Amino acid sequence: MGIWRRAGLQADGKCSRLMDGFLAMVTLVAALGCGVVAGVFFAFSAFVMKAFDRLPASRAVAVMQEINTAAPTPAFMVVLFGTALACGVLVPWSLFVWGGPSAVYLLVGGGLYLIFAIGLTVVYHVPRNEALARVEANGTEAESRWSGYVAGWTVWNHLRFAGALAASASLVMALVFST
Amino acid sequence: MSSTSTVAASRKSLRPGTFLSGVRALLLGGATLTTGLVAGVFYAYSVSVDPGLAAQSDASYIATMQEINERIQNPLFFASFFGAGMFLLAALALHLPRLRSGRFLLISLACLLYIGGGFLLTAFINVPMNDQLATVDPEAPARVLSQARAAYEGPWNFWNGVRTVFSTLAFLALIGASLLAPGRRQRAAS
Repeated sequence: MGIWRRAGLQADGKCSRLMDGFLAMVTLVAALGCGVVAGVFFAFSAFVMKAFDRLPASRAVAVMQEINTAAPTPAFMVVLFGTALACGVLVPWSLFVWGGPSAVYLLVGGGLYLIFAIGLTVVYHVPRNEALARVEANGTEAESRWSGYVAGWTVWNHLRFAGALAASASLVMALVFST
Repeated sequence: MSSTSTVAASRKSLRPGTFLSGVRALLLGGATLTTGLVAGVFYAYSVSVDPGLAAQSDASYIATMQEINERIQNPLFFASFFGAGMFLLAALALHLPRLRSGRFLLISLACLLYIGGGFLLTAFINVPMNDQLATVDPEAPARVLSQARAAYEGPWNFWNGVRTVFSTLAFLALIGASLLAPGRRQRAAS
């Protein structure tokens, strides 16, 4: 278990080694989660939405509705919100160890994930997904509703992706500088 | 060894003394992030795209999957998919002089996991299946479509799950490698 001790986040000697090890593990889990979530957003930004946009609007609406219904599986929610929970621990912790070598990286990493990955999802994407769920896929307005949906959704998804990726990088840096 | 002296010792070895150690750190960082991205892309299929398409009709499933398989071939995705392999091999090569370090061990492990379980698995299993699916006309008779889907969906989703696990483990190994000092033999690697 030497690695956990070595990776212990230094609090200028203020906190116990056990606490250091625990926070190093939380940081590791958060870095891993941010990277995987960034990859999920990346898939939608890089090719999934482009592929759907080439389908007839009725089919694109139906497929996206189904994905939005299927996405809140436990497997994905645990990663998305488990990482948020870890970041929710790391942000206040970074203030507690302020001045230490990894504090800035913890604050930036945790903050980026909470603002971009979670904040944008809750404030922007979920309401749009819910609005899309009410569209009749074979109805007359499917075409216009889809084109309105896909453009904004994808642009804001680029930001979710960039935020989560930067968060992962920052948290890896926090671990590196804490050793 | 007391924790203060461990910290002081590893802090010293992290100081970018040479140009080469900076390049090593950059390559390892690049490998870590690109591998994480690819793992997340595979994971996105597992938790989002595959279950989302499961309820679609055969024609819709095949047409959508064909579009995805065509659109994924773009510079952004290739930069991460091939980039991860190249970053990994370059990081491995530059750590060769540190053969006995824990970091070299973890990078080798990540290479095996990603190149074997992510990259080659994709090239030899998923891509041939995609090529096969691409030959199916989405307007073909229902029986043809249902046969084509049955031959594709189950195995493809299974192997996607496998490559998700392998590339996520590679990502984890690379985060671990980033934590270890580059140039010394690590007790922590045991």
